[in-house]
Amino acid sequence: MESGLAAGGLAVSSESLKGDCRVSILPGDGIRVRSSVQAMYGDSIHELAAQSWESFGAPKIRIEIDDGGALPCVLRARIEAALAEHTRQNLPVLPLPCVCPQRDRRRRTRLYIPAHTPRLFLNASVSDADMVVFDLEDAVPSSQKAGARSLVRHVVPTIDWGKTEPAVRINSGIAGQADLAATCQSGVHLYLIPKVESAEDVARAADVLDQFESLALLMPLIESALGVENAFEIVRASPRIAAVSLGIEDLVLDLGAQRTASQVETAYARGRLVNAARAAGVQPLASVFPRFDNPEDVKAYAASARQMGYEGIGCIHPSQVRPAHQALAPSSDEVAWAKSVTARGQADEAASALKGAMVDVPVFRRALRILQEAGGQR
Amino acid sequence: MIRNAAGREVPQVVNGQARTPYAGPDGVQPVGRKHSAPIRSCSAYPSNGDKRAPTLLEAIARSGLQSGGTVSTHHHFRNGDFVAEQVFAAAAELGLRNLVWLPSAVFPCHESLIPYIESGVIAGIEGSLNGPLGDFASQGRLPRTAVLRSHGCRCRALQDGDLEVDLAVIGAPTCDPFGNMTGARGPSACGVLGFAMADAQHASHVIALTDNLEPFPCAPWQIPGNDVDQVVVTDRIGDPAQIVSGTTLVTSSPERLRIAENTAQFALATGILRDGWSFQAGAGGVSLAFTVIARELMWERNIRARFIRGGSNSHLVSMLEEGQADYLLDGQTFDLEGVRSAGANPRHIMTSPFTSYNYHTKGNFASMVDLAVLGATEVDLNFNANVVTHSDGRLMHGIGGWQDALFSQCTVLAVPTLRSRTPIIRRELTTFCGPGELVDAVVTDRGIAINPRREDLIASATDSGIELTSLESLMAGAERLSEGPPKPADQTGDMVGLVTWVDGSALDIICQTN
Repeated sequence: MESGLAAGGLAVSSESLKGDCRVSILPGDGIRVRSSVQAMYGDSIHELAAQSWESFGAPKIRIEIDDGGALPCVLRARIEAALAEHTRQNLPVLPLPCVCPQRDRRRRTRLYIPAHTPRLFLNASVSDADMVVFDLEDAVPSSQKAGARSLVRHVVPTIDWGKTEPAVRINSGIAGQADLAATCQSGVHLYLIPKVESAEDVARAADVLDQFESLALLMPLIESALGVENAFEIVRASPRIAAVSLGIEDLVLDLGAQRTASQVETAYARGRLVNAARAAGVQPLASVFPRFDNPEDVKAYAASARQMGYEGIGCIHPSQVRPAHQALAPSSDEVAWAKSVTARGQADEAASALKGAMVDVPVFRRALRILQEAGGQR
Repeated sequence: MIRNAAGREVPQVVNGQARTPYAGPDGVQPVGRKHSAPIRSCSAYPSNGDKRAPTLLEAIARSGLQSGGTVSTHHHFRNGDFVAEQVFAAAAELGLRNLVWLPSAVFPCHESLIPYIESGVIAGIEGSLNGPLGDFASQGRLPRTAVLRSHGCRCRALQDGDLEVDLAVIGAPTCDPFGNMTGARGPSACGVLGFAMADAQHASHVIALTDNLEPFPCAPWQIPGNDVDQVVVTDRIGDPAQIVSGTTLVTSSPERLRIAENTAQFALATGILRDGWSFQAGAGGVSLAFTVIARELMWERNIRARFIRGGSNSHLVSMLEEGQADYLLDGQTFDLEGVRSAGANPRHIMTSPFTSYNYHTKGNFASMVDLAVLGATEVDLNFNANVVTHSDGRLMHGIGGWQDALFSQCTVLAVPTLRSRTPIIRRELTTFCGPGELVDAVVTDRGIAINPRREDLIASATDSGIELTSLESLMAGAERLSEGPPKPADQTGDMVGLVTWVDGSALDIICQTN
């Protein structure tokens, strides 16, 4: 709970603003900076703010920045969001990063982080999750949506994501289309579209991406009884669709059911979804597991998802990533079995037998997939 | 001022005392004989062994402490220390002024001593300095230059005689009227009393301050009453809730977990983590997480440690009790499990900075440890590191046993690449605290850089398929995010602190910040 002594002698609480900043637009003129890293970066923050201010046509305002050691991409996002709101101008166009999303990459874990909380961003990038999802939807209070959108635009292209796929969960409806328009040129690889009920919902999102010539992939989230009934049509709605998942909380509400530990209330929906996804050649991903205090619980959830055919789970905390990856990896028995199957060479036309069980082409392929999954395990 | 072997400008005289400039990690060869406490006679002490004085005030008055003298206390009670405050309250009442306080370390609770500095009772501090008092010193508000010594250096200075203690007041969780004392028992139990051993042997006068007197003999004792002049009973010497933490929770910070995991993978890949190995890891977030991950790896591979070096905590105690380690060599006790074990387990051994850290002796434990996992506030491209100041020049962290532990067989600095916006790896250190010759690897959240001097480690890590990077590349990655290096701290202010090396030479200075 250290506080930075700022110019003017006022303490900036770096706990509430850690890795973040607060930008206030006031009547008057000039730029005032108070920062926990004042001695090291005070001048640089001032300069950055002046550049943004000029890019908005140097309006007659005073800018006050309280900084808790935010990265420049965060500062820029916050300052631009404040200036855009105040001047009612659009966010400036950013240089377009070169992005090549991969449809078939592994998505064992997707880690959700609220898009308005910069202090979590760097942590997420070293969490080992296969996907990081900047959540613009439920996790972000409505007063913070514009700032969160601006953060995604600046942060996604700046951080080195390594093997992690940067993704965004947009809002549903019109707001979601605006989210896409604002962020689709920022290097986002995949968008999660919430509350999808029909193929048209997907098509609307795909249209926006087409319009901006973005290559981003889509992942519909099905969160209603109607959506479940339309699952197959939804996952076939666009070649951009790489994966699909259920939004369990909303679905259970819509079903008039109650959530149980056994998940019996969503058995049909989960079965239906994995079938639709496989039929359409799309990755079925299990919904979010809401507890992170016990790694064994995470493992049990991921293992049961894997048994049903799901390839990954949603995470709300980085500590879930490791147990999830462990549970989603093939067991040593499975690997031994797969090795014994593949050791016999190509299963060609004729089915053969191993330990009294038939080995035909699908069995051989399953063995290959297990070895592939096992090989990718750290 | 003179330029030393680390390339830093250092003064030749500090607080009126001549200082040798730092001459490299091996230090300046010592000459002469050890410094001793004055010889006393039994005839000066009660033959019935009862050395009790009625009050601390009375005892200090009898000790002969004069204005301008040196007074030592210790950090066994960590952030729950009531000893230092009582000592200086009594000194103030006696009208003593310009005292030099020699704490083995200070904690945030010692902010309560600032009024004694402002009123002139305390003129200077020499020891491990951090937190509010570090910040206070940084602002140039201590009349004398602060002298920062590592735990080992403090011990060595007492032994060599370049630091003379006029009065040592040792907080004794259990004590008898003769002065035999232990930290293992009593309402203010703190585990081990290692940091006070040097003072007990070398100070001109020693007072044991206890809140738990028992009849002679207090056995087994950690410090013998033969070294003690007077015993004072007081209400409380420490706040048990602040002496040790009840639990030692492992960090949930993904960044720190990643650093710890990378450190464990490094230890495994280089063959350091093998049967019969030894390691030292403190109570910080990364160190603790490292211990937990290393234990998992050890279980999986059926590996035992021959010894581990504490700061003891529940995790190290579990290792000892579950047979994952043969011995726990403990310098200080961090939690309640550590206290319980220190009092009960014969393989939980009390060590002192003499055995572990003192550089002017016939070898010490620190260098025998296979792996030491340490922190740093800054690392330069030559693996030199800072551990006391932030990049804005403020003195914020204790030097502790950090310099001493650098001498291990393999020293890893486990650090994040960025602290908020500030890159940790940089071209020039704000304060030079440890030479890169002693740092074998820097492990971060975004990769591992091994010191090119350690070709053996590079070869074994590469053979094991560990991906290595360079400090230059880690720095470039961090500076890409921070958009450039931090502006160097303003070092034009007056000198407020001197950083010494383990041999007592002048390594670097700390300048006043505004």
